[in-house]
Amino acid sequence: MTETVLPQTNDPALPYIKPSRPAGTGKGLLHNLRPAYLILVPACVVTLLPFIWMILGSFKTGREIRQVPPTFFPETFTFENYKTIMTDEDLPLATFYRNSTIIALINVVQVLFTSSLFGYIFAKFKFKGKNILFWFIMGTMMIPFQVTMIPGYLILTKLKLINRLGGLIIPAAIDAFGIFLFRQFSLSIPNELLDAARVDGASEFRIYRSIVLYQLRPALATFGMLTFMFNWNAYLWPLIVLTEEKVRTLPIILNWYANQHTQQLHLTMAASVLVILPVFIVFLFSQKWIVEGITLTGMK
Amino acid sequence: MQKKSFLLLSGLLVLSLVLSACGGTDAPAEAEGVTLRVWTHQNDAFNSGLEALADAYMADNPDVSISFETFDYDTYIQTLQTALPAGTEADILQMFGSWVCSYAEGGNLAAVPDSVLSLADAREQVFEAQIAGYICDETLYGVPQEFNIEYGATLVNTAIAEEVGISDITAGWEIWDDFTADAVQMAVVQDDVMTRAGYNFTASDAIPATFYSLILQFGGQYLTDSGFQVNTPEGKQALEMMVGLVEAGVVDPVLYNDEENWVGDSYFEETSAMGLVGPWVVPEYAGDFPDVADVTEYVQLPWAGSTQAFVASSGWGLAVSTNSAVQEAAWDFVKYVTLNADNAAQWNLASGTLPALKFNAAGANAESLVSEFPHFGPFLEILEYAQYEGHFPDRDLVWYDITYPRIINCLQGNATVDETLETLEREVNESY
Amino acid sequence: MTAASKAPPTSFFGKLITLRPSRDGAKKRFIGTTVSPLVLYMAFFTLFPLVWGFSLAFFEYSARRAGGPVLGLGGDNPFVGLAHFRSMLNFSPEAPLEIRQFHLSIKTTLLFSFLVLPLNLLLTLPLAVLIESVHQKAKGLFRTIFFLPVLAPSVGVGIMWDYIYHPQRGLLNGILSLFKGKLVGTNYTGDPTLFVLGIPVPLLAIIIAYVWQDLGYNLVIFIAALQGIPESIRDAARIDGVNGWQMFRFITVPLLKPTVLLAAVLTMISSFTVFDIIQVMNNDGGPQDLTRVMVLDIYFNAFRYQRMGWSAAVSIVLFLIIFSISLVQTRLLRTEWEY
Repeated sequence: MTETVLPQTNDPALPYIKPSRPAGTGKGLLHNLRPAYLILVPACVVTLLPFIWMILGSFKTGREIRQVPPTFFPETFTFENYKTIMTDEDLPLATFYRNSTIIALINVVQVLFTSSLFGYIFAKFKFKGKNILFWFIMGTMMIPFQVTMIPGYLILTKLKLINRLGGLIIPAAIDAFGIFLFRQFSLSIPNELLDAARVDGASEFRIYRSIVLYQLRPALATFGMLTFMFNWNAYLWPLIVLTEEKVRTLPIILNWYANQHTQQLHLTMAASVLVILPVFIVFLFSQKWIVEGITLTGMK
Repeated sequence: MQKKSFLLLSGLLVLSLVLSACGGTDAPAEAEGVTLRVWTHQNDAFNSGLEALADAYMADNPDVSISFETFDYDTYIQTLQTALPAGTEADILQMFGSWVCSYAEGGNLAAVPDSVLSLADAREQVFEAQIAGYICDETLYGVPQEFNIEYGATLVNTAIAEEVGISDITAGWEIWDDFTADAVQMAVVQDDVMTRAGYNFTASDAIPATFYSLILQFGGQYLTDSGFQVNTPEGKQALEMMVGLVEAGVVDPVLYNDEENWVGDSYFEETSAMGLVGPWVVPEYAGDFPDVADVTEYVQLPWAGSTQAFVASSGWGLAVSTNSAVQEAAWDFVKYVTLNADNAAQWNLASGTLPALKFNAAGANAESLVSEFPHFGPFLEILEYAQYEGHFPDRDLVWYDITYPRIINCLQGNATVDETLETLEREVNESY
Repeated sequence: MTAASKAPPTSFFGKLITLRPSRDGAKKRFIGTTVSPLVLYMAFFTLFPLVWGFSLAFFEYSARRAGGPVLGLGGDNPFVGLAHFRSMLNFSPEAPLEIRQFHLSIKTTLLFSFLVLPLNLLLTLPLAVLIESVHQKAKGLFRTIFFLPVLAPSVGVGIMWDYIYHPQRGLLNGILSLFKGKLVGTNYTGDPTLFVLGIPVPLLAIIIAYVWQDLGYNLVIFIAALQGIPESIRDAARIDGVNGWQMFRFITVPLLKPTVLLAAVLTMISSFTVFDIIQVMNNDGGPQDLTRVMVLDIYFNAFRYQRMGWSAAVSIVLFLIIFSISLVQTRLLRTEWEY
């Protein structure tokens, strides 16, 4: 970096900034560190507190969790809750994990594919009817889910997809939010890159596959993780479509113990932990890819 | 390259179709065996009782297989609504009595065949208060399993009673003032915050049950020829009495209501010394709270007026869907569960519910029920005084969306008695 | 760069696309093979249920009744035209219960959303910048921690916060009691008389729980966008002695504007359709319907009281509200929306 001129002299769009210290000291970053931690650490505690409360609750007995005044750390630490859930005959945990995994994984793959593809197309191509189609897709995000519940269910019946995992997979291929998100991120892919590839004779699909997807890697990792989580935690719709035990998904165990009148807090807390665990693991993995993606592509 | 992507795309589609096919139901059962699907709402005690009976039935009838699908309360209603237009509901549906007519009128439920139970026999064998909900337009659409009771006797924590110096609380009370005095004594208030209610009656079932029962006890009627009426002297007397209880200090309706401290939770957590809720809660909570369950007794509430009566809703029972392909087999199982006195009693015991069959409420069966589950005792004595709540086009709306919110608002001090009665009457009549 | 230089395309797909001559063929084919299946899929799985769902607004429909031959409409589920919409205009205090609940729910929903949005942005944007400014290793840790609530299922979150808000055994009252030296028994979720600046406390309780859960979402998006700001600009600014606050105000925020708009619009839309956590925390719409937002109202009417026609009419109103607000938002925070 040889230029020492202030950015605003190059870009008239940016406002004039009066320097607060002599140029060249370069100490700005270090000095900013401490105030940042002062805010971040307490904020972390506030964020984590309900979680810790929940995790600790999962190790308490039914009796203790309802004590007045409440205890923070479990007085009698017990794994009983987890044992109860895992050995409950009415709730075959392995089956639920399997079903949830199948649905979540397939949906992640298909949603990432369609969102990135169509996000890219809406960002970089023109065709007749594009506006209408785009706004229609955006519009679907604004429609409350309850409107299409019964018609949606009826369609699934006609297609014989009730009580089948496919019922949650086949209609889930398009995610409006995903298309929106990837369009936004695709906008910043330099056109020169794409045109150069075209000049080199690459087909459109090849361009999508090799260049666009590569550029979108952080977004793919991020959104993939979000989609996984969304599918993993979904419980309202799966509860209706999948009524037979052998096809049910994991969140049902949350509902089971949190049912209307006999809330079993300690068990619900344990159930929540069991449900979050896989999502958390996926999250940790995707973190690696996000970081990798950024460092590999280098600073833009 | 386009080909590759196509292959990828179609490969994915095939994969998902294959996998989704793996997780689904097989082709319908072969002609030799009958499969009965049963839908119930989630209640462990209820369902284990029903499943035990199903096992016994299947042992006797090896060509029948019964499968259960359960839903929590809210999801159950939702699933029924989505499944009915599609015709995918189960063969046997567990129904709450007050819902039956609205589903029957839509043509969704099958009428009970005379061979299973005729209307006349039903009236004879089953308590009026319970069978009334299942009769629509002089046709019977299901059979109740329980006598649903949310008034008449209250949960009492005898250990707390002793602690505060009340001797022999199980003897009951002759008059309400005695009851109120005991309740206030058992309440604990610390720094203006009620940490233990004396008598928790401010739940969404307890309030309508109390209000309408009191009206009956004061000699009034809330369903008359001119429609629903509560802005009457008896209505006023009933509501004023409830307000009086709150003002005396038996419960704080701001802290104890449907959002927090629901009566079942609160009683077993010992933040309420007495609570108004049916005996089905005992099996539900006994596992987690054995200490409290041990000192729990039900004690009859004193009559408030000259008439001995109280309101009962038509409770849980079984119905068969008109879309079912195996109605005959379905009715046979229903009959086995509900009309066979011993089976019905067995289920009542498992679920902690009172018997719907008159036969089981007296005589040898009743004695064995009480000896196994003493909490039935106080209720069996007053079953004869129960009156059916009456036909409402939407009883849940009237109970939970109108009666409860209006009355709790009044009890919390945010509306006057007159205002509440007037609005209550108007809103219920509008809902017709 | 115009289509004028080529003869008008004759194929169907060709007519759909007008592109530069040199890549016409390949691009046309690409669009053709991708967009047409999309349109077909959406027509079937999205458009059709939508049209049907919305058309219920012109009928008295209940799932229990068999109704007429076409999709259950007609017959026992009669056509009523605009009757539902007309009844919505009844503002008298004597109006039927569901109308009054409807009006209250609009107010509650707007209150909810207009509180959630600024709260969310005011927390996530600075947090994202702060996280970006710290040491590389700490960054990942902070991001993970703040994102955890998003991973939790709404049922778990609702129960967690219920636990905190409980009047007698909750954490909040427990802490307040310690400070005050005497017992505090406020019922945050169930007292209809508690208001803060005109906002019902039960609603506020849910807002806090929801914002807590949703923070991580926007945070991740903002961090991704911040990482996209060219380091060159920042280095230049730093060399010229710009301090942290100035960096934030004059460089970060303007460059982040498109992402902020994106996040704002999406947060707004989600806040209108939030259902899970509200249902878990206040099952029946809260004390005196104070937390009965429109989606809850729609749900109860549709499934508990089987007034699906009325419920569909309310959905249309909700949709129109969301649509107009999004439109206004994009206009106000004008930024590149190229077509």
